[in-house]
Amino acid sequence: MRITGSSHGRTAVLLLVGASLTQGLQAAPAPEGWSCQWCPAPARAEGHVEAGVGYVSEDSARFGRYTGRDEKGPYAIADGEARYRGDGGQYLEAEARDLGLESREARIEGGRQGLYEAAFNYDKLPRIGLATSRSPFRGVGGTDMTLPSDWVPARSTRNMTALAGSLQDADIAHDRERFGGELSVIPARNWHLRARFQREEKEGIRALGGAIGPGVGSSRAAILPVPIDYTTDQAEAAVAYAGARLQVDVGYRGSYFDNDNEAVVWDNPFATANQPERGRISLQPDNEFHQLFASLGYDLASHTRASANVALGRMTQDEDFLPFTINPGLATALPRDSLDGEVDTTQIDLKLTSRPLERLRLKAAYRYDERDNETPQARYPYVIADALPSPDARTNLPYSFEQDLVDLSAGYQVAEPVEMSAGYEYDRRERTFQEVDETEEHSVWGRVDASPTDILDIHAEYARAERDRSDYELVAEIVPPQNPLLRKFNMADRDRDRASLFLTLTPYRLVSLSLSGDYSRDDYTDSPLGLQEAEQFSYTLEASLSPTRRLHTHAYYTRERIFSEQTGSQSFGTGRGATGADWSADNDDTIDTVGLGLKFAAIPGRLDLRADYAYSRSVGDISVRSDRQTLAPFPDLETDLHRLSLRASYQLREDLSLELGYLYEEYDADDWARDDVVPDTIPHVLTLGEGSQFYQVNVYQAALRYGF
Amino acid sequence: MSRAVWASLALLLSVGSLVAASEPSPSADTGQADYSKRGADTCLKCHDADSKFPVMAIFSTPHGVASDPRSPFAGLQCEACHGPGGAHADIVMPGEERAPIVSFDPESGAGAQEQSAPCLRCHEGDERIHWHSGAHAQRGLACTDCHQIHRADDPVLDQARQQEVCFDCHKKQRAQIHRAWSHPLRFDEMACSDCHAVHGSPAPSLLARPTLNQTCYSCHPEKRGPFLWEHAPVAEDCTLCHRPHGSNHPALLTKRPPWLCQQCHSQAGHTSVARDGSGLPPQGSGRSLLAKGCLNCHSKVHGSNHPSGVKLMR
Repeated sequence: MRITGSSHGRTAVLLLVGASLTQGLQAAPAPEGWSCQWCPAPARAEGHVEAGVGYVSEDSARFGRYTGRDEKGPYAIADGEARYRGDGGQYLEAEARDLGLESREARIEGGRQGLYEAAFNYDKLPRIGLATSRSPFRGVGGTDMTLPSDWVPARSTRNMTALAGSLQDADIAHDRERFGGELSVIPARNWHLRARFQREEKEGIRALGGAIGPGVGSSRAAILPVPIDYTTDQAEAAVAYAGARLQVDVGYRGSYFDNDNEAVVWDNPFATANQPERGRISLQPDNEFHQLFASLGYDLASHTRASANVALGRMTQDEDFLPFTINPGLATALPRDSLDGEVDTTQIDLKLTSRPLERLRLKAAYRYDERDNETPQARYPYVIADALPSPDARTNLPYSFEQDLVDLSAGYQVAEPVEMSAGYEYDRRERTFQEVDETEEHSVWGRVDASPTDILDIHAEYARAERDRSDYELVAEIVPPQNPLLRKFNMADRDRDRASLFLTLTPYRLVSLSLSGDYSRDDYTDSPLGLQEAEQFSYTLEASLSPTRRLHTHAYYTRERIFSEQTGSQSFGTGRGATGADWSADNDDTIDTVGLGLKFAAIPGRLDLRADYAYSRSVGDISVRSDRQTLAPFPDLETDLHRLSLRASYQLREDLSLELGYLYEEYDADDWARDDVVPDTIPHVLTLGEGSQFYQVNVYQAALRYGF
Repeated sequence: MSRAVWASLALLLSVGSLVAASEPSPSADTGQADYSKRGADTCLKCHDADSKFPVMAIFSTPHGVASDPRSPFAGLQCEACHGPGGAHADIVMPGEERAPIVSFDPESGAGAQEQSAPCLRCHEGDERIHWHSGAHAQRGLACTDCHQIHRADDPVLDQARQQEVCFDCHKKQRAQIHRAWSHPLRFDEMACSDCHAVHGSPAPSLLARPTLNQTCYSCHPEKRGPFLWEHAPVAEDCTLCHRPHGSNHPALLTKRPPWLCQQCHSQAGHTSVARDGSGLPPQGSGRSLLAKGCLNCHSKVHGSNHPSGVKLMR
């Protein structure tokens, strides 16, 4: 059947105008006689439920960190999904996942398709921490932490005679629970209104360093298990129009963060001479963020499209200030009662993409990004760690940033299987209250995408960027001053080279081999001190083989190396003025990852098998060198993770299957920052004694899945 | 107006409506204009559940709802996306090749723009306004490279299975989520699209919010401030210190304290000391090396609102 309109006359014009206006969201009408008798009845209900038992073989906080499977023993498997559709587009969908675990989530959605939709969701995400954490503090989880009445304070943790007998488990963990709803209405053709709301409650305990005491030499610290009791509401409302040529999306989003706790007060375990009895540290203040946004897309003639985005935001924070110190003997008047902090954010993006010729592709983009910090400044005669008035008052520095980014690129298909692309980018940034007012970076890149034969794809890219800065001047307000020879890496002169390569070879339809890699090198060309160079290199070899339609296998190996060299000056401040580098440090991380996978329809339509294995090993080598002194080496930092997952699905009957699963995970780490560090290892820091989290865990699962 | 004027106007609008869509229509590609005689009934005779290209699951998706006037099945049914299928549905003689239809198979030879055009005719609004200028479109991806339309459960829309689709190309990130510290993608508790607007975004790296920091704040609003004492790199760019896809250092840091901090902090005294292995147990107990390193004392690295928090210790 051929669809024909009137060939001429008013009818034709009206039809075409109508088509032109409605093209986009309105389907073209079905020709006469298209009844679709073979289509299934609209009204239908389908879904599945799955129920069973799982068993975890060992306790491991790290293994169960995000699922709640941290303790040995059984757990319930309960998942399900149901979808109902009515005759007139009505629908209701319900989905639940991991109901037997702490990481459970559920969603229910319904409405009438094409008119309105509403959804509600619930999601819980645990984050179990380091189960071996122990602390002598009482009142953990509250805002006033005390030491036992028989506590014996000392200048060193090793002389805290009551410490061993006072330690109790401090459960460093938190849960996130999210509740939300969405409403979507289509009031008229091409229009769409949507509104979303989400509340997140985050509760638990985290570890926070609490320093106390005057000066570096005599200061002490205790790692405090402080409460998390956050409520964050997020709301968004928008109206969208989508026509054939013009699309618009305009709306508001807001985020409102509320912390139930303003501060934590703690007894000072080091409270001997010159040490205060108690300390007080602030927790995260309430804040709000409001943003208006508008996106626009417009199809111009000649395969050209313009798009724009504007986002205007405001971050505010005005929580009442705490006093300078909990120590009443040092109390002084605050210059303000609260910060009245306000940051205005502006992002403007303009983009133009065009394909004026079949073989030519052009893109031009401009981005303006501003963080305008309008927070008022004042001088704060602060107190050092609740112990000593600072000899110098400090003025707060409300940092502002501004960026202009121009991005131009073109691609041309020089031959049927070869496209050459090139681009230029200009990135200008301005900062306030920092050492460098302005940086400018020019980048050029070129790329080849080619398929020289039917079985080979090649993508190769090289980019070069050079960044220059304005004068580097120390910020007078920062006391004591930085070494004037240091160049902070984010605003230093820098040359950057990047290259990437992606090769895919498909000698047969069922065999694929690929090599992908990327390399980048940053060279800080005028930095006597600070980061000197940074290099990253990664490659992946991958092979997939599907010898039959029933069997799919794949294997990959990825290596990534992350290297950097930095320098420092230990002799700075020794009376000889600014001195150049007298030590350097290399950080060299190498991470190898291996993956194997198999999917096999062992008995087609009845038995499906799946196996996945991943192994990740990282080695971190930190090497510090000095011409002036002999430095002791660091042992390597190492982590090893093995993960094997086996699954089998056996169809007992058409609507019922048996689902079996096995998961093995093994993790080990050598981490000198944590291994063998018990609460009194560091004389001047009372830690929680977090240990590395070695585990070997087997998980067995058996469940029945009923489909309907 | 004369009939000729109306005809001319009709022609102009015809051309205009073709140009209006920045992509050519499927029928323009194939040069076909004949639709099948019975629409989907023609297609479903062959493409049933047992065929090489089964399609019946589309009736479990929004595309198959005929009562929604925006749905393909309210109009040209299968041919709304696949273009006129009259020739494809014609009887073929033994040995004769069946006429092609607009196919979304990556090996069909059709370009990504041509393959995405039918989708974008309806799906170019909302979060897909910036599709054309986004990295995926610019690198030649079509909608069907990631989406499976004829499935009731498109894997890329499922939080637990989405990463398999993304990692097909993003191989480095696949390895990074297995690191000792990573966001919980490995546990199926997060999806790539939680942070990335994969259909195009004005932000760098296809981020979901207008800036990188705003994207991070959507889950970490307590770090947003503004604070009385800001830490300048924190306010500028979270990735100056963090590797969001995974790291072998705690808290997704790019490197450990003290060296992370010493890249920018060079004051005389403890800040500039060359820390070495003698600070490790049993011979040593360096407070800048062990436990949280510099953060044992300077714990408020994301900013402090305490009037005495200038050194990020309160």
